[in-house]
Amino acid sequence: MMNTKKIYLPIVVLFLLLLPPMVGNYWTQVLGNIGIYVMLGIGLNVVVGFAGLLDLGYVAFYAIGAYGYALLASPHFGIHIPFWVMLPGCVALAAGGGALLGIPVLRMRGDYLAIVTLGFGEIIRILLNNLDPLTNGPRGLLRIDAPAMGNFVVNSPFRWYYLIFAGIIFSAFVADRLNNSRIGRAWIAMREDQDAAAVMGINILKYKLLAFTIGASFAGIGGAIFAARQGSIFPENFSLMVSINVLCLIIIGGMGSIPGVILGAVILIGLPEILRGVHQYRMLAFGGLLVAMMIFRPTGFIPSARRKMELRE
Amino acid sequence: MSYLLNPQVIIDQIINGLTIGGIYALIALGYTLVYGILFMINFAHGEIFMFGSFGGFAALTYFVNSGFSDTHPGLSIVAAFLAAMVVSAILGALLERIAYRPLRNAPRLAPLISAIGASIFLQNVMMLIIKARMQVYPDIIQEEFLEFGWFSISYFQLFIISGSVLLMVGLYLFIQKTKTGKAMRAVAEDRDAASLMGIDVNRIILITFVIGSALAAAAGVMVGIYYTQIDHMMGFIPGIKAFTAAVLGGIGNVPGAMLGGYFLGLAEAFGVLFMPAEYKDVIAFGLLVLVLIFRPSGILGEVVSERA
Amino acid sequence: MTKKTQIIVLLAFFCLVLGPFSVHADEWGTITIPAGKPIKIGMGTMLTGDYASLGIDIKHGAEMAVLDHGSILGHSLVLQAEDDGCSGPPSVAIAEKLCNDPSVVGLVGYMCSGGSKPASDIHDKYKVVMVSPSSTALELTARGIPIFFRTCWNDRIQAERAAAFAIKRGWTSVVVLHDKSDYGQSLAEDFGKNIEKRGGKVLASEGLTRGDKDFSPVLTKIKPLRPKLIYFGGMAAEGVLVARQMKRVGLRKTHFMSDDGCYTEKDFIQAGGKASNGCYVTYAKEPDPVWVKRFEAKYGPRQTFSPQAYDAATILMRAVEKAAKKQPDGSLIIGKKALRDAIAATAYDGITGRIAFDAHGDRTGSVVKIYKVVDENGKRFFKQLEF
Repeated sequence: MMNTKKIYLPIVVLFLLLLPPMVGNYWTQVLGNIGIYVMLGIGLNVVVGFAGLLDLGYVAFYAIGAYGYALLASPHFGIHIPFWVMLPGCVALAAGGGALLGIPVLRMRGDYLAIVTLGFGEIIRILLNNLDPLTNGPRGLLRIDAPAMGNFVVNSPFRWYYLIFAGIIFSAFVADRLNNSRIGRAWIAMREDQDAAAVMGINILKYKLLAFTIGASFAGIGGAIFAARQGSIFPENFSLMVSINVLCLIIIGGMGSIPGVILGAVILIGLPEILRGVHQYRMLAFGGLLVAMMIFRPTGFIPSARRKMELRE
Repeated sequence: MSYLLNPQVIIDQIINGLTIGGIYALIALGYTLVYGILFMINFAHGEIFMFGSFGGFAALTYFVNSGFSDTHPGLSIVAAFLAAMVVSAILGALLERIAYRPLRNAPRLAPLISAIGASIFLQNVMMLIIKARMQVYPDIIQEEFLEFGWFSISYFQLFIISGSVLLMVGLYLFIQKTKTGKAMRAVAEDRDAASLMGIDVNRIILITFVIGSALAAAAGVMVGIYYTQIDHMMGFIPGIKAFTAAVLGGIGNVPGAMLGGYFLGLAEAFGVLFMPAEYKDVIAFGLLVLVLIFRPSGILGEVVSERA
Repeated sequence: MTKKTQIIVLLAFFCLVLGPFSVHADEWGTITIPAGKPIKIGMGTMLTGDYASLGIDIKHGAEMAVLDHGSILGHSLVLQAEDDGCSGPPSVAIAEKLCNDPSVVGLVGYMCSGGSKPASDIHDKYKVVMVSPSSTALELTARGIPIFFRTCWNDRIQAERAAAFAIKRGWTSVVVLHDKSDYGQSLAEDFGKNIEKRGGKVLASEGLTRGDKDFSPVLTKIKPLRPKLIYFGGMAAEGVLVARQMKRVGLRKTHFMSDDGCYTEKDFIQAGGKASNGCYVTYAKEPDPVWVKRFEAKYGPRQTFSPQAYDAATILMRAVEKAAKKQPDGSLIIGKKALRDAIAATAYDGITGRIAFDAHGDRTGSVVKIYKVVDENGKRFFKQLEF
């Protein structure tokens, strides 16, 4: 297993690096969209896949990251903090949001947690839409600064592609390290049997909070990139559908597995672009797929190696 | 605050709150019944409500086109309610059979995700049927008002308030007095023990879904008649609000769901007086978050909270 | 003559002969349509989702214009309509796709201001012109993007006309409602400002939730204020419910007025039943009745913006005709700046009236009219009022 991974990984990375010039501007743009969802998927995977906490309000952290950057790097307040300075700032903001939500709700389990996070996500969107003096309400924030290094401005689909690509590599690396760390093992213990894990001396609240906060930080990066790339953001960009889409892609791809997340994003976000005609059947198919997946293949198309091991035992 | 000194506003808001509250309560019963027995949130319940509304719409449209509603307006409406209930009951049963029963012993997340999938699926089925266009209930009966000097109530409102109360009382009696009701309570208490006592657990679960779905369908037709517009997304927000109502009253608890529905309806009606109307949805979501944090077992208490 | 000079002379000769055909380099670059290949007119409008019926109506308008126009300099025309979802992300994706398609000359769209705003930045980057039939936000023209034009009006004009009408009727105390959308809120707030400028009073201003159906609590809250007029900024789905529920909560003497979003027979007059009688809406001058007949024979009842879409597509195609240079090999070369300038110089009598643009891309002299829903001889329709 490890050996094949070692051989294939550089080939896949090289292929992805050479992809944009081969496919042109438009498809590079689509790949960028997919890439942002991959980052969100990697982040939500930490919460749902690793720690087993069903979060239906993940979009809230994405929104916090996006608005955090847009407010401080646009003509709205006339503040223009550089992207590279704001990026850690957005991570901190989103992580703060994660902790803020996490502290009160972590005592809940399963279904209740799902519904409360859903409510939280909706409340954030309604606040963004209604706090006009701060967020400019439904009129959105326009002319958001693009990231720049000296004279080099990230403003074309190609440049964005490579920036997002770097972001994914970084996120995947962090997530992978986490998964194989002490924290990751604690999450798995907690996911499989919370009470047993607690008895074994795992501080459940601490690890839940950690999962929420770390998961949220990935969304913060994704949000900042989304805002800077689109150049304008609106509260309607952060509807519940984003949370549902991200959840669908990690379940279809394979919970807990990073290649699964990438596959899921390609299927969920990329396929409708390829098959423009079947666009209206997309969500229908995904709804049905979710049900079928739960019944016939709950581990997803590319299950994580560890989950496979767990299932065999 | 001056609003609270104005008796006209108070009475009007009570009527508004009880009307929408009755609808929330009817939907909430479906959540509570299913949760009481299976300990799962039937996320697709809002879509069952939506399909019920469209079932009633199809029946009424048929009666209007055939001229039957001109001669028998009352009968058409009763028939529309029955048609809607049949549609939703069948759908609820199918949902249980296809999406939930295979997952009864799976990890807890599995049925919830399956329910989310079913919800998305059903929304999109209806979207394709109606080609994403909002539909309008035919005006079979013109809305009239009962005047009481300085306030008035619409016959529609009166009909919804009394209709929802009747249905709920009926359900309560059914659960308390009939043999099937008794079996439902037994399964909720302890599924395995009930099974050992000779109760067909699968049948009882199916009946529970059918009853919950039929009540949601009734709410769906009421919404159609009262608000006139229906679309494929109409089930989502009322579904979450009704779930909030069920949690408010204590999930799994039938009188609690009714109480929760009215409480939420009144909270929305009166809440709008004290904050800008654009925050109306925050009331429900905020209440949901607060209740779950501070009193997760709800006002009347959760019937079974062990499995949470 | 040496061979070298022969070649130079020959080249000079070709240059002289072909010179008029070769394109003087356009500062924004050029679009080349190869011989025998169609010219694509891009389009961004909502094809699925809550306002799909409005979006499809827009598509029909543009489609009819393309069919009417037939061809340009021997090249056939194709309308490539994409679903812009009436919001930012899909519009941006479409903008990248169409601006990078070498046979797209320009675009009709986008449907909503929320999509047009971020997409116009991308169009500006690639210098591909866009003519929107329905994006009314003021910022679109105010921010000085050279490639944006519209055949509708902007929110400011609509709000001013509506307020002037209300004051003239003596409705000096108003309550302003909107659906908390980009469009509805901007319009409603502008309306309120205009009412106050003209000596009226705004008693309250409230936002509603799009997709909500129960507005009776907020209308009950408004009732003790006894406004003479409730103005609603938003779309028909919510507008018609406000009109219905006003009657229900007992606001029976208060007038209801709304905007072009409510100018749709099916979703406002039919959906509103009797409650829509006597409501006022603002919209452009009635389009050419001959055109309406032709359109409705083909596509059924029109909704709101199909005439504006028809004109938008027509203007774009006429400008392409003016700016395109036919090459000897049959291909077309179109300068992007030349095309933009041709649109800016439009002076044309369209089906929605005289079309000419000011320096920002807004129509000059486009007048918004007031309509009232009336019930005459058993037929209910929008009647244009003298104002």
